[in-house]
Amino acid sequence: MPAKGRIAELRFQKKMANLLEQASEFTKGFFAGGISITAIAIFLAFLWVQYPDNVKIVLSQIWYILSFLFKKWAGRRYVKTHLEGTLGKQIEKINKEVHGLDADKIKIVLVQHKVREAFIKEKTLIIRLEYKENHYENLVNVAVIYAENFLYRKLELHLDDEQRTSINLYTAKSLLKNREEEALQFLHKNCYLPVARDNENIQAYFEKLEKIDNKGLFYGVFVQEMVFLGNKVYFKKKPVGINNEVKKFVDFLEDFVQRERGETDIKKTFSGTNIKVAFVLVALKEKRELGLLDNYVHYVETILSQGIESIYAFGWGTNISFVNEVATTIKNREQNLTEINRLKYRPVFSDGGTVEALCVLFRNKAIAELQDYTSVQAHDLTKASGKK
Amino acid sequence: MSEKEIQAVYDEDLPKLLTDLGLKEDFDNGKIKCAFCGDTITLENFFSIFSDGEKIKFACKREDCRVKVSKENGKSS
Repeated sequence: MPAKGRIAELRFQKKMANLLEQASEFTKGFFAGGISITAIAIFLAFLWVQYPDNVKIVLSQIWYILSFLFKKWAGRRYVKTHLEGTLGKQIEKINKEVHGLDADKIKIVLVQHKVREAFIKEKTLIIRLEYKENHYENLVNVAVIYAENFLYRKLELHLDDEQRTSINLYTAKSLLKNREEEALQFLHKNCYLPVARDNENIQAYFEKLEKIDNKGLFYGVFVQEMVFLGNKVYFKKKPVGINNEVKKFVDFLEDFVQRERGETDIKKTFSGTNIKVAFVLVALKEKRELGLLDNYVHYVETILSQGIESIYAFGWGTNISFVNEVATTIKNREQNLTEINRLKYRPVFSDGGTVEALCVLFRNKAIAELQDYTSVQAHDLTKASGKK
Repeated sequence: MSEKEIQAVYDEDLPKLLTDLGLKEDFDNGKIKCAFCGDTITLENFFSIFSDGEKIKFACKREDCRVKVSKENGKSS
């Protein structure tokens, strides 16, 4: 037995020596560059897969510097990668905020050669990309074309022209968020003014969307409800009157976001023909301190029985953890609800203050079929004339 | 996530593209007009090029024409 023990000990010592030797070789190789190329390649591949837009933005900065030496070659690459990266990042953010939108990314195809026949056959639109000195123009042009033609195309909402124009323009503006002032000025002069200058409805609509967005509800609530509405419209005949309901919904959201800070006594439900939304404001200090979760659960039960389909629970600042608690309780107790999204955002208040906020979206499992507005209007008229 | 293609021509490549499309001479001679406002298209005011039936059309950078392009075209992919 002692001899066996000695052999085992020797084997262990040998293994340890081997391991140390290997570790030493690895370290030497790493610092000498032997493994570094592979490691860097793996790391870059990981970044490319995980954060493609950020990688494109970094690459675009490299192309930008190189473009001072190689104006044509690097300038072209800078413009392309910067457009794809910056707009792609915003699109990714929108996709996180809006469940089910699945907005496509942008791929800029730089055309250098095109045969006439192929150009005509493909019904191509080719836009101009300016040199890097006027790159803000490129950003605006691509953002507008993307918003006009791609972002909401899947929704098939049958909005009226003014609504569509305002929503698309506002979306283009939001895609340019955090861009330099030049880009916003260019958008205002070249895209907004030509359509809004003589159209008060577009001006008013645009302003409403801006107010809603400042409070963080443009994508998270408005566009989200447009996606839900779009899902109802699939395979149905064109619903005449849907634009009126969207208009009323925007007015409701505008009233809601214009409430004073801390005001909770405001209309919090929109029970339209096809849009049925309720807001739950988790803001009362005493409820939070007393842990009165049941009040919220009962309120949710009441609005569910009224046919509400989307429930948004909001709260900010010190209430965030309580919102989480309320949302989790609702999720566990209400079998008829599905939690769709739990999003942090930052509303901007009228006094310029901003605070971290949380919005939790629940969707009723029982969603009504698309309702025809004409029959609803007829029903309302019958009721109004007393013919019950 | 899928991607939507937006086709574009970089400033530097425009003359080459026009040559391919057989329009370089007309362009240089000022014979190409904006499909919306009728202005002559130049290297300075060129905004986009698109096909309409069998015709190849151009749009200039004027605000109204630019808006019409993004509203009425862009169905390229």
